[in-house]
Amino acid sequence: MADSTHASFVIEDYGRLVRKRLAVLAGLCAIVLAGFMADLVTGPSQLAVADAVKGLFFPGELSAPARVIIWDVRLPQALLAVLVGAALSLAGAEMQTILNNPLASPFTLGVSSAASLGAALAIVLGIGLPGIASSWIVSGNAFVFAFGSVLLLQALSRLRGTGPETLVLFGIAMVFTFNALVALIQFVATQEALQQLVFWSMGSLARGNWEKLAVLFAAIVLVTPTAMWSAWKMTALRLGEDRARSFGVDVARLRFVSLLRVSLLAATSVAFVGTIGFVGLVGPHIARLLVGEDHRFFLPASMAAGAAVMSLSSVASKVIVPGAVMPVGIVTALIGVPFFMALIFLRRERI
Amino acid sequence: MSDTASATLSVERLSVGYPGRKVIDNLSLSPIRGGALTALVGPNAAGKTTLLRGLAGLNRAYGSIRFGGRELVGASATEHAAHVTYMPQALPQRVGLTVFEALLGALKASPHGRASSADRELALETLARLGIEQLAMRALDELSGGQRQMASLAQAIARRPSVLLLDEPTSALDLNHQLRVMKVVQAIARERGIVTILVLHDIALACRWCERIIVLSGGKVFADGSPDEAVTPKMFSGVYGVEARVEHCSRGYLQVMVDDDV
Ligand SMILES: Nc1ncnc2c1ncn2[C@@H]1O[C@H](COP(=O)(O)OP(=O)(O)O)[C@@H](O)[C@H]1O
Ligand SMILES: [Mg+2]
Repeated sequence: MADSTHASFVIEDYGRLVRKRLAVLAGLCAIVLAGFMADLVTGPSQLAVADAVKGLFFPGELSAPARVIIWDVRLPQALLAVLVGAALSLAGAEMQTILNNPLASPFTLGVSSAASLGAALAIVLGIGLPGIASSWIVSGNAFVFAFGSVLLLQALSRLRGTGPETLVLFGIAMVFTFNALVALIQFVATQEALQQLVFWSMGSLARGNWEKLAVLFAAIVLVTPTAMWSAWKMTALRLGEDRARSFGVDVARLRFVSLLRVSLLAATSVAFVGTIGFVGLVGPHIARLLVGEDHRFFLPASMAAGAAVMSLSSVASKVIVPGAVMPVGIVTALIGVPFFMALIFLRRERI
Repeated sequence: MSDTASATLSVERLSVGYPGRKVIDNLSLSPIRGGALTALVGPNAAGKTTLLRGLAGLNRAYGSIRFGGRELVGASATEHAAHVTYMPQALPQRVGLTVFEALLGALKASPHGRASSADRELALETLARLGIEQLAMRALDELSGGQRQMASLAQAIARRPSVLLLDEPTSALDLNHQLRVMKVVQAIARERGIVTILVLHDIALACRWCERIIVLSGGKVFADGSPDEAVTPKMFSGVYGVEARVEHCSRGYLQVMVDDDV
C-alpha cells in the first residue's frame, strides 16, 4: 500500500532527526564539560590554569596548599554545580510534563520555600531532627521539609481528586504559606541568625564537600534510570491525559512515582546548596527548544542544560566581583535569563 | 488480533457519569458487530462523549461492557487499553513533537513485544494509509486543525485496537479528507474485524458509510438501527427540533434535507 520510495524517505528522515538530537545532546554535554573545566580553573586564589589542570590528574606534583584548593575546594564545588544543575533541571522537566504546566518547577511549587522553612527552624530556633549530627542539622531539616512538601502536595491532591491544575494551585498556596512562616521566624531571629539564614537562602556552592556530593550523586543515579524508563509514557502524556490513558498509561501512577523522584532530587539539591530557583525552570525550556519533547532526549538534555547553566553561573559568580565569590543563587538568574531570552528570540527568527 | 473478526461489543445496563452527575443511565444496546462502522449521533450534550469515555474505561462505568467474552467494566486500565483505543475530541496543544514522534509515542506508551524497527514501520504504514506521510517530520504545533486531526486519527489507528472509538474524527476536515477518513476507517474495520464507533454530526455522512446508526438524546437511545430505520423525519423533530425530509438519492443513499425548525 505505502509508496515504498516515500516510505524509506520517512524512516531515513526520522533517523536523521534522531542523529541530530543525539548530536545536540553531545554538544550540550561538551558545554557542561567546558563549563566544569572553566569552573575548576577560576577562583579567588591565584592558581595558574596549567597547575589546576595538572593538579587534577597528578595531585602529587602540586604544592600542598594548591592541592587543598583543587581537591577540597574547587573540585567539590564544580562537581556540585554540575550535579545540582542536572538534578534540579530533571526535577523541573518531569514536573512540567506530569503537571502539563510550563511554569512548574521545584521553585515555583514550594519545594525551595519548604526547604527554607526547614533551614530557618534549624538556624534560628535550633530545632532539628533528633539523632542528626549538628553539622547536618540545617541540610537535614531542609531535606525533610522539601521532601515533605511534595508528599503533602500528593496527599492533598489525592484528597480532592487528582488533576494537575489542583496540584499546581496547592503548590502555589504552599509557596505563600512557607514564605510567610519563614518571614515569621525571621521576625523573631537575632541579627546573627538572620544574616546566616539570608545567606543560606541565597544559595551557595561553597557548602560542597565530598560527603554531600556522594549523597546527591547517589540520588541522581537512583532516580535517572527510572525516569528514563518512563520516557515513552511521558512522551505519550504530552498528547493529553485522556489519550495517554487510552494508550494504556496509568497516568495517576506515573504522576505519583514521578513526584517521588522530583521530591528526592529537589530536596537533596536544595538541602545542600540552598535556594537556587531559576535552573529548574529554565533548564527544561532550553532542552525543549533544542531537542523537542521526545522524552528520551528531552530528559537528558534538560539535565545537561541545567548542569551547563549552573557551571557557567558558578564561573560567573567568581569573576563578576574580582576576588570575591557571589552567592550562586543570585548569579544563576542573572546569567540564565539573557541566555534564555536569546534562545527564544533566535527560535522566533527561524520560524 | 485479526482472529477477532466475529467478536462483538455488548453494552448492558450501562451507567456512566462524572462525580455527582449521572449522564448515561441504564443504557443497553444490542451487540455491536465488528467489521463495519457504527455511527453515534445526537445533539450537543446528548452524552455521546460520555458514553465513549465509559466504553474506553476513562470514566467509571457501572453495568456491563462485554467484548469477545471479556467483561471490561472493572477491568484494569492495561487490559482495557489492550483492546480499546479512544480518540478524544480535543486535540493536543503546545506539544514539542513531530507527527512521527507523536505516533511512536502512541505505539510505545504501553509495553509490547515489538521491536523499535517494527514500530517505525507500523507508524509509517499508518501515515501512508491515511495519505499524510508528507506530514511525518512536521511539528504537531505547526499543523492546521484538520492536519492535526489526521495525525490524531493515525495515533488511534496505529495501535491496532479491537475496539476503535472515534469522537468527532471528521469535525475539522474538508470534504476530501472526510471522504478519505471514512474510506480508510471502513477498510481497516473490514480487514481486521474492528468494532468501530464514530461520533458524527453529519447525518448524511453517517448514512453513507455506517451500517448502523445509534441516535442518542439526553443520555437515552432515541433510535437505533440501519440508516433507514434510525434516520427519519420523526427523529429529526424529536431529537434536533428541526423539520427535515429524508430521501433516497439516485445512488440509493439516504439524503437529508433540512427545511426549518419545528
Ligand atoms: N467533565 C464533566 N463534568 C461534569 N459534567 C460533564 C463533564 N463533561 C460533560 N459533562 C456533561 O455531561 C453531559 C453530556 O456531555 P457530553 O457527553 O460531552 O455530550 P456530547 O454528546 O456533546 O459529547 C452534558 O450535560 C455535559 O454538561
Ligand atoms: Mg462530545
